[in-house]
Amino acid sequence: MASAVKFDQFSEDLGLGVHDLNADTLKIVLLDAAPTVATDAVLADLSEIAAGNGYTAGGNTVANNAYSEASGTGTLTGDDVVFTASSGPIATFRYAALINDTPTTPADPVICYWDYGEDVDLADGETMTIDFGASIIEIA
Amino acid sequence: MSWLYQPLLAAAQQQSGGEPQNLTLTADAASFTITAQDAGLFVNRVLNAEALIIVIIARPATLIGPDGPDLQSRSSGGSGAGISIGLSIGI
Repeated sequence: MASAVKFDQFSEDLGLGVHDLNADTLKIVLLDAAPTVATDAVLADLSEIAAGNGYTAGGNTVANNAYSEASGTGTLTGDDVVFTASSGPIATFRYAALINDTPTTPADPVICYWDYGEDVDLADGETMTIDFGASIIEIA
Repeated sequence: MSWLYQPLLAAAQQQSGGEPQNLTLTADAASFTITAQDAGLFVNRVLNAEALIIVIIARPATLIGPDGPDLQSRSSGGSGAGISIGLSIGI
């Protein structure tokens, strides 16, 4: 079970109204280098893998995202995200980051990321599912 | 969050043990079939067919007891309906 690591910038962006976690388009992007939570603020700061063979630049969308609150804890939920290599391998990755694709200023602000623990080589036809379980992140 | 890596059936790897001979992996809509000769087959990868997840481990012949092959299979997460698993190890 991989724990989400929150970007520092996300805390600021929440207070400034950058995110509408109910309505915005959230995406999972695959990375080949560890993010820097203290300074990475937008997708362009991250080391996203090259597009191709089933991976689209900017990542895959988290469908049906929803944000709610109970007993003081905000919970973001959404459908699992699946990456499938096709016509060749997807570029080696290790990290998956959640970003918000909707805002334009700043463009594509970051939210959090997960570490697989080792490099992953997804061969042609293989899949990697990002299984969020009961929630993507919780904000207490 | 958890990661679910689903390799192809054909990508199943030997991760330890000796080299099996004539290892073949086949599958159709209803079943998997793994056949191998000699000892030391150790397949420890998640094999996925539709909604069924199967992990199959066959230990080396040197560990086989008097009751026959020490063969374990486990399945979870599938609907189960109409799905059968065909498994044979020739030693």
